[in-house]
Amino acid sequence: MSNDMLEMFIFENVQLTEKLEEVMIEGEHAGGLNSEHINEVFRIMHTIKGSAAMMEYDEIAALAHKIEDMFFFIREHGEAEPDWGEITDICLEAIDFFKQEVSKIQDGKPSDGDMSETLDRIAKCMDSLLNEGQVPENSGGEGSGENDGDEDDQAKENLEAEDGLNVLNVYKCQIFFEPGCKMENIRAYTIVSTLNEYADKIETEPHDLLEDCSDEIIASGVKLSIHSSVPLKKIESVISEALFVKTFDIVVDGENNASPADAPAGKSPEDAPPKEAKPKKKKAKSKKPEIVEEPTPAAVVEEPPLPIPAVPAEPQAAEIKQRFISVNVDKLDKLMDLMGEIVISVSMVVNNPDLDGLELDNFEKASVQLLKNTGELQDIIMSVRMLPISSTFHKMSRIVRDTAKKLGKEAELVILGEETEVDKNIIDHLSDPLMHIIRNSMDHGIEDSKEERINAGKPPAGKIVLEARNSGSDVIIYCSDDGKGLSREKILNKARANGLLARPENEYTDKEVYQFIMNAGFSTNDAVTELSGRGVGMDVVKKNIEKVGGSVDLDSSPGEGMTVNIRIPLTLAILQSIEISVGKNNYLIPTLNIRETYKPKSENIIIDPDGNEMIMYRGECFSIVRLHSLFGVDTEIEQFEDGIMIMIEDDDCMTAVFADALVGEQQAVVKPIPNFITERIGQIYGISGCTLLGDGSISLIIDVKSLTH
Amino acid sequence: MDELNDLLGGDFNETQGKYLTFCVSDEEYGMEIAYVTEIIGIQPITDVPDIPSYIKGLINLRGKITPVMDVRLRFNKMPQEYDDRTCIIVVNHLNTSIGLIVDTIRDVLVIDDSQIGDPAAAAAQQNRYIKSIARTDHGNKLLINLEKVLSDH
Repeated sequence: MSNDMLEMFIFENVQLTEKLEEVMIEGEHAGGLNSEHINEVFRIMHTIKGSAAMMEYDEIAALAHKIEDMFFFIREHGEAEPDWGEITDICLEAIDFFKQEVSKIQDGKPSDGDMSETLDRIAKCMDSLLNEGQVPENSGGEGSGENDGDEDDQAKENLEAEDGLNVLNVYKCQIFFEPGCKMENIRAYTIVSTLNEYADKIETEPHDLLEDCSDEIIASGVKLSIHSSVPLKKIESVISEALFVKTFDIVVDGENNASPADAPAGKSPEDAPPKEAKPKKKKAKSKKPEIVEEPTPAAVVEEPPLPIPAVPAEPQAAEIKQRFISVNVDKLDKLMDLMGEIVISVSMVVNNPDLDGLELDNFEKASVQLLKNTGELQDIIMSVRMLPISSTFHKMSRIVRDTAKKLGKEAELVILGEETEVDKNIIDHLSDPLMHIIRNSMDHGIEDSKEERINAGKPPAGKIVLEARNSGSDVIIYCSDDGKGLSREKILNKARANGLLARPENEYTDKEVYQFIMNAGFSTNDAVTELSGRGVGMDVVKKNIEKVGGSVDLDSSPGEGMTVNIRIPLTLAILQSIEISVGKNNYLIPTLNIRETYKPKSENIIIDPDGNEMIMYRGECFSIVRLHSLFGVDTEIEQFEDGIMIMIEDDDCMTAVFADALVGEQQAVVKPIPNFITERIGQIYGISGCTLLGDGSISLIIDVKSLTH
Repeated sequence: MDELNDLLGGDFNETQGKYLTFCVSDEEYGMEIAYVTEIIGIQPITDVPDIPSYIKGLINLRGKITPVMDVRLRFNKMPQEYDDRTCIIVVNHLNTSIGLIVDTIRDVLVIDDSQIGDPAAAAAQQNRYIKSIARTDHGNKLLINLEKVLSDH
């Protein structure tokens, strides 16, 4: 699994759990979650579930799924007032679990946490939600003993059987919470409410836990005397299950006590290491939303019970967290513009005409340094927005795998050119369309059975190729499968039925016919399947791609598969290019498209009777494009021997381009020619875009495709 | 030029009735100041092939690639070498920035509607780039129809 994905997953997860905590705590303060909160939690859980499932952290996904279910229920039954305390606890417990697992993942350990307890609680909570009508459960504190489900009854029975007695005991109990867990009073209150199920009477000290008495609890713990007939073990287990309990003592005060009187002191819940209970005098203002920000039990659990604190996990967590920050793209745009200005200002200072003729050694040194630094700064700013497409591509392997399983087909995903850098905006818009295309290929493209494939002379497993490539001013993404391909007949029939045909059928070219499937509500799949066939899909693909100014194109040969070509303008993609000069103008040619540059020799030039100039290059003859005449530029260099010949190629078509001289290499951020100009005259022949060079000047980028074809 | 740029900073109410006046050839022209974003000196211009001659090419306006139009050529006057009095008026029209190259900038004037002549009179002159003529204390100003100047006909 790639590191990028892992980092992204961790980043996302940390953000989501933080958000979730915020929501839960906000809800707790408001005395319940409103529908907005519920939707938010639902969404967050859904996202966590999705990304965890993708990364194959099944435990996390399962827990998120359960909570999602729970909130789904709450959302659907809005009128009932569930026990928010319990729900908040569960969610916080889940958050801890997520954090704990994520920190394990960060440390490169397997995510092996056990969340069965939380799942049980959720199940219980769901039960009580379902029985809501019978037993109103609210902050009154009276537990829901009746509808607790068999589990507890059984537990009681077990314990009764064990002890053989059912006598009233008074348990004296003192509980300390984790330092920094905040809202100790509420936590204590939760424990008391839970214990109420088993106890006839509970006295607490401080007396009223709903008052803000957290400081007191932090200092001396919360003292309970529980009048109960259930055995000690049960009380112990209730307390130890509670969140954030660091340590607790419990002793039996009753005379008729059959339980061991030497009740183990300092017995800790499994969630906390059996370390000394030294409640730190940490001011716990219960209003703070970042309740579990500190590495609370979650971080501690996975550490061996040796006195190694959770420290090693922390720096790493910080490090990975800081590797991503969200920045408004507008700011990046401004940064880039400003950078352009700085570069110009620098060159204005360094090449200032006032300095002419002066010998300024120190100034020279300083300006060289300045130029170097601004150059680096500019490179960095340019690259900030660009991300390799790999993470988007790798997400797709999961889609292929899952759909393959669901459909009972075999297929592999081949990824090519994943290092292609694409603007962040475009990446965000790519993942949905790609997902649709791949599902479509899996469902409709790849044959239903291996036999069908073998009969067609193909390997039994299907193959989907995802490829990204820079092509001039565009990034092209090819997504091809080796399945059945598109059926012209089927599409035409469907188009006829939908009344989409405007001309006689035989006038449509294959490509035009294929375009039909990108109409909304167009599906040739006879049966609607879980994955596709509803006819939403290809039109969504088209819309999303057009949103970023791209185009989608389909190609297919029946029986051999289908290719979807997505062409996205790389408005901001960095283009490696060679700068050439023609007269007083400079132009850029994408390095990828340059085969070779050389000084032409006159004996290799051929001029045909029509005056067309050609050149022999490696035994083949290519036509020559003189840039100065193509672009109407005055230059002194018109003899081939004086200039430079550049062999450019695109899709195996090659042409020789004649220019004055090579200037150097440039990393260009491609920008489109302003609309003001293209609206007037359309695309300029031979020019695909323009770019700002380091010195602030504008250079035009040569459109290799149009020159070679 | 800086003072002029300062004047451009106002909000709509402040810009209403204000006109930026400039010279092209021997005439003085005026343009509603609301269109104007800034005034800059002449910049290096990048040639673009195959475009009408009155569009001179592209300039780098703080990282924004902006097309520039020579108003002289647009008005079918004889071309003239650019010098340090030549200015580029950057206007914003329909969210696109365009630079207009003019011989020189004059002033910002408040022109009252009563000073502005009947558009029909201007139309009679059959110059589609001129909206109307304003009579001011500083002489007559030809108020240009920016939309027409920028349109592609």
